[in-house]
Amino acid sequence: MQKLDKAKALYLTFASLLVVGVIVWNLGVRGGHVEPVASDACVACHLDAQIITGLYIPPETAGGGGG
Amino acid sequence: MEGIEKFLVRADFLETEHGRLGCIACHGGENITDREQAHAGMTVMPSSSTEGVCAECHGEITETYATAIHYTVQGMANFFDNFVHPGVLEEEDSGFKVAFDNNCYKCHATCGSCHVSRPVAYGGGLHSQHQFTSTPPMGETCFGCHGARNAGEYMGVIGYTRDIHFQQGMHCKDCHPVSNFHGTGEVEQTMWEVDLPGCTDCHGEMLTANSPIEAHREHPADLMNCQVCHASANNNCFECHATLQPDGSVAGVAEAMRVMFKIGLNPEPTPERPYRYITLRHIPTLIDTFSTLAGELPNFHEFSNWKYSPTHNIQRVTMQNESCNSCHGNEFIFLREQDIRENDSEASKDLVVRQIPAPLP
Repeated sequence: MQKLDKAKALYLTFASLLVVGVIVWNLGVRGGHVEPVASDACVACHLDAQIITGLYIPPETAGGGGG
Repeated sequence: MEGIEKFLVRADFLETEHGRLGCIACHGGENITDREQAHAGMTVMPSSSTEGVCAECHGEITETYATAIHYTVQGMANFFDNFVHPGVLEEEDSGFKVAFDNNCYKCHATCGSCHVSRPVAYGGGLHSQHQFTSTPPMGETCFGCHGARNAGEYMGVIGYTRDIHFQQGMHCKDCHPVSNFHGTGEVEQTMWEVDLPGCTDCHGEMLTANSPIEAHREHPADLMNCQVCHASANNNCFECHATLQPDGSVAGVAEAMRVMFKIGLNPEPTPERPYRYITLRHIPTLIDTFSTLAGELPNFHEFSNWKYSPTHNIQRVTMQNESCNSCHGNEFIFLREQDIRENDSEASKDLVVRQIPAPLP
């Protein structure tokens, strides 16, 4: 009986370590996480066509190149 | 392009998963209304590195994209390794490196260059008012870098006809698998070594012994690429000179561009492209193209000015396949000795068709 309890405890310890290990590994693979950041001041201008038109003077551009 | 075509953000973007993060989460900067201070320290292109913000959620794509030719522009880097010497772009004082960094590298594409904005080479700015598009709009993105040739021809902006597949509403990605854009994880050296689509992927039955098309039964499948019969004239550039601009950029100016159709000999048949005859395109490199920035190209004569062209303006009926003798005996559509220009490379002569297929009775 005592032998069985010991085996159970050992099994539980390994199982818990495995679960913790998988969680840590996953965090490493997935990297960080992008958190929302308040940006209402940016939005106030970039949603307004009139403001954007007034603030931006287009330069001369070229395009449509190669391959 | 006006400011609204580049920097205006549509209101419903803010309701999307990306939009809910807020501008500063990806771009940095400050949440204040003073324009200068708000933009100080911000990142215009958060995806400029494949380890940047996109990798946080799309790591399985950014990992392979780091090896993709659209990201590395390795194909253009190879040009200098071949024409000058391997490693020339590692040399800090090299004028060739100046040309690469300040011209060729403009076609380096980040995730955002296609999925949210236009490529830098096409003026940049948001193509869909900051909506992320899983399938980028072809005319705003692919065309931005490939417009003078394949994409322009496909869409009928260059040359005499559009491609039948474009007329049928097909996008580049309807033929090109996603690995052609995102890479596979294997570092790509040239566009020729990737898993490119082939006409027979869809039209395989046309090249069998039982093909309903007589011309297909008469010509072996390895005699010529499909474009020899089914492409139209393409864009060819001649005599390009690179010059350093006052702002530090490098401009390449071709003396001439001509829409023309030429068939030549395949100088390097491969298992993927075993053809004897191929469609061609002239590239404008001269031995002294970079002479104002660096020296002459020492290996210029080893590479042909006429290149294999998988021309993208396919039509079922073309001027050269209307009848047998539209091609047989028609010397004007084959690359001849007199088509080789004085300042073309020696290797260009290997593609000349010295004996054209005889006219049929």
